[in-house]
Amino acid sequence: MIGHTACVGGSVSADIVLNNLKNIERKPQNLVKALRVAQEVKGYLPAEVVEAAAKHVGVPYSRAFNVATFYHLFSIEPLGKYRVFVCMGTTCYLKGNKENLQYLKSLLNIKEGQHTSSDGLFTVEEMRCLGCCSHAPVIAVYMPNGARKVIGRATPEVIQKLIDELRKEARERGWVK
Amino acid sequence: MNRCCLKCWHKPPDNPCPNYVQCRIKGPLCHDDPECRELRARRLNELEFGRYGVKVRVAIASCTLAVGAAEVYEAIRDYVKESGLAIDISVVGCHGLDFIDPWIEVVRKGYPPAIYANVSPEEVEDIISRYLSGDVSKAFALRYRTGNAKGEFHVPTLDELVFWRKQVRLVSSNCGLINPESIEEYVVRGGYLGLARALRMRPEEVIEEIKLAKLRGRGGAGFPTWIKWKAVKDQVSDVKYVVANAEEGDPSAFSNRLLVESDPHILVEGMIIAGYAIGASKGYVFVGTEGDLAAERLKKAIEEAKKYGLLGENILGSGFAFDIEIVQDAGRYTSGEETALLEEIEGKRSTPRVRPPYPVTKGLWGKPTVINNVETLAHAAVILRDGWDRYATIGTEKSGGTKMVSVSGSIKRPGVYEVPIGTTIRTIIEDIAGGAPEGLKLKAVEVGGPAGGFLPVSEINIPLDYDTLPKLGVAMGSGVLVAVDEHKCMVDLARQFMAFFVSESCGKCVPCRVGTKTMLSILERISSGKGSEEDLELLKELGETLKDACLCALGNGAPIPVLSSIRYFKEEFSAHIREKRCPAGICPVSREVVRYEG
Amino acid sequence: MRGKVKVKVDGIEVEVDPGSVVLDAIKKAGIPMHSLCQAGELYRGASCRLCLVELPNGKLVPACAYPVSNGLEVYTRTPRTLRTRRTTLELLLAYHRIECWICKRKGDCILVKMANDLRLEGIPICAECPLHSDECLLNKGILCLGPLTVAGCEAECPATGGRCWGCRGPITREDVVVRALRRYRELGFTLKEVIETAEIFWSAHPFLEKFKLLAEGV
Repeated sequence: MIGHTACVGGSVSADIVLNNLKNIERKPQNLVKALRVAQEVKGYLPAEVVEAAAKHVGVPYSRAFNVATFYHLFSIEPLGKYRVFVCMGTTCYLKGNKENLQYLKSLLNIKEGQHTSSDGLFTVEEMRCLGCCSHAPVIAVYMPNGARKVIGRATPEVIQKLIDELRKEARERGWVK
Repeated sequence: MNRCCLKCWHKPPDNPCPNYVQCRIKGPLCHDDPECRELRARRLNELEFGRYGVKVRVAIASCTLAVGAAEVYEAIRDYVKESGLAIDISVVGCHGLDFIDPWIEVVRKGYPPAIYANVSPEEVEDIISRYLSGDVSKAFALRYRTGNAKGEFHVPTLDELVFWRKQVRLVSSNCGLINPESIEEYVVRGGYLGLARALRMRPEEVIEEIKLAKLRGRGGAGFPTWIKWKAVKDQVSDVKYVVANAEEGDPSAFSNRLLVESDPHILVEGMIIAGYAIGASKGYVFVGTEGDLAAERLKKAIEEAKKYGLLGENILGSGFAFDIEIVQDAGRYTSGEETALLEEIEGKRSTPRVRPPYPVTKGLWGKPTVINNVETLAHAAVILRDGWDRYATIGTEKSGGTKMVSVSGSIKRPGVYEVPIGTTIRTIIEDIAGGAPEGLKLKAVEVGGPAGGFLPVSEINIPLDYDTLPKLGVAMGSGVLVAVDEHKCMVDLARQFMAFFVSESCGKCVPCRVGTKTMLSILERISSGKGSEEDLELLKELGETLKDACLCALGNGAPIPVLSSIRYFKEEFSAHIREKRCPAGICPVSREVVRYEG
Repeated sequence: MRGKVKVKVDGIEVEVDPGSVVLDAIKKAGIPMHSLCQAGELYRGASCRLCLVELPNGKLVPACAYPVSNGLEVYTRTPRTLRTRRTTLELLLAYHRIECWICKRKGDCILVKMANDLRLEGIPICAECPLHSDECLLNKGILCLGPLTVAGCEAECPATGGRCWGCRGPITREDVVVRALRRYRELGFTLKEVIETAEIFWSAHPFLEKFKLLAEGV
């Protein structure tokens, strides 16, 4: 009920992605589903993974690529271990997520126009709405294991604490020094 | 566990009992047996108060999880384990009073069920031990009084609280009360009675019922639901589909999420009813990216309903078969548009289709398809359960029933409230949601999501319905109300909305793809103090074009926040343009001025 | 063969085959219509929104994709359709790389035709000029102001052998002007002489100052 099914994180080969795709029925309508799984397993969608997914569901690579570049959940570029989404919905924007985003980016030393921190741990993205507007401003973290953590009433202090925790976790797991 | 007693012969799908649902609630019906009656009474008691007579309900939904409900749940579990108390812990959804999140409710037979607000893990022990000693004085509210507990009369009951009293909870009546993962609790509270009733009627009678109830689509456009259903029913096709749109794309809309997370069965029931009325055998629920929990609970609900013979082959012996599949969005605002949603279910980019042909004739895979918002389908279940006559008395002359509204922003009591259609926005904002927090004054209310628009506070004395709002240049949309206080800048907000549309436009049609970008660059010019009077005219002209020319409703709605803020807050735009200052001190133009003065 | 469908276009009644779209009926009625896809068998995705027509209920629908039905009435030139079409074309042009002097369409430009019809300025004379590539006056060393002048005269002077003097006024879109000035320089003209030529007709034009500034930056 709370938590999520664990997935393999990090740099996995296309074979493992293919293995995970096995449970998905081979029909074109499952393209989005297949890409979702691939994104979750691999962490991002490099060309060979998109191609594998396309082959699996039986659509041309061009169409799979077209879908992979359309949706916000997919990324064809490598992402950080932790994907931090800053909600930019009306309420969150009003309640200060604009400042939170700036703070987060400066905290992680992410420059304008970039999304991933130099140590490869965090990717900061803007999100449409998480549906927790009552507790605005909200940020969400997609953990490497696929679980999602939503943090309401975010302030710079809360963000600082969160990043410290995640950094600690990353160090414990040996992802960074 | 799907038989009510040993004598029950309900065995789906080969030998289903048509009276199964009624029997679960009022039974045993087919025989009279004291043993069965006792069994039933025991089961009902257990559902209400748990196996040991004491039950703690913990609200677990996306909203409560965001403020630490998982930790509260763990604290309760640990406390119960360590103390060895005989207490059942049950997960419930959220009843929409988000300002008390995370909340728990403790129930004990003979005592008033007490709701505790803003619970922290540390408080758990104190709350439960006090409650068990018969003291409810620390509670936020009580469901009802029994007169047995200490401090009971210092705590209001929910019905005494204005934000509860002024609501009419039809579709959300189960939210926060039942375990969303338990079909038993849903059925006991009258669930699937609507389905049982519908299956005894002819499909056209079901549609007639919806028509008489004056149900209109809750997704935004307010299209009469029965017309849609009838159009699909009249189509000759071997395959038809029901699609429930649970992708709540509009920022600040969260009522659908709350409904599906807290009471997934009402959606399942509504979909089966719709499927029966139009002759479809397959349904899809389209859940948004953020709807992981909703999808999880829905999946469980579908499984359970199948086990109980309420879904699948030969439902309740009617010969009608129906199946539901869940599809989750990969994140795009346009996915909430009905035809774009079909594209995504088909595994493509979610870009809107050209209409006609409308989905009612050529929808999913070219087959007739009914696409309804989840709330609409939930309303259908309620109408079939209660009958149209009761339903139609609520609401306005042209549209019956209630609407769930999501209230957030600068407001005392943010949350989801269900009010009769036609309730004034002022009632919702000031009475129910409590108005602005201390020390702040409201300036505007955003009505109906990004495509809805802004209304100044002086104009909010109008009823929330499908016919009045468009006259003021806004729309009902998804039932969003965002309160904006005086310290916010309307130009900045309009700019942010446009930035949202620029990043979310699917790029298919020219007016939306280029128009939103052009409008954004003009708004950026204004907010940086480089705008001119002509820019306002240009914005209006572009806005009118987008309203008329875009391919889908999302594009048509894109300029509305800008147009409505120019309409009602022109002086703020003028301040940016003429005086080169931002009255709220938010836009970059004013920062320079502040620095200069300081 | 089933019977034909009667459609009224701007009050003119025409009969078309069932299953055709409004645009077919408009063509049959002999009414000129703005549309990008009517010429060839292009993808009819109703994406450009230039062929919007008005229905009696006030709805705007794309003529290229809206199916005909018996008794359908459409209006092609109401103030609303014209205004929308004009703005949409303007938006389309805003993202169109206007470099008509090297464009392959050789004066046969659907955009400039539509723009002229909708009284939209901003496309240079070259879009209408039949003298392209080798025949272009600029290639022959003649300082023609075509690239900087608003189209609409069907390139009368260049078409008859003379150069354009800019009598219709300057294009005020900066990126177009900058590209045109670069072209002049590439072909060996000095920007000073371009400005001097332009001053004949535009010496009091409010854009001239800006024009000079742009020339300095090129």
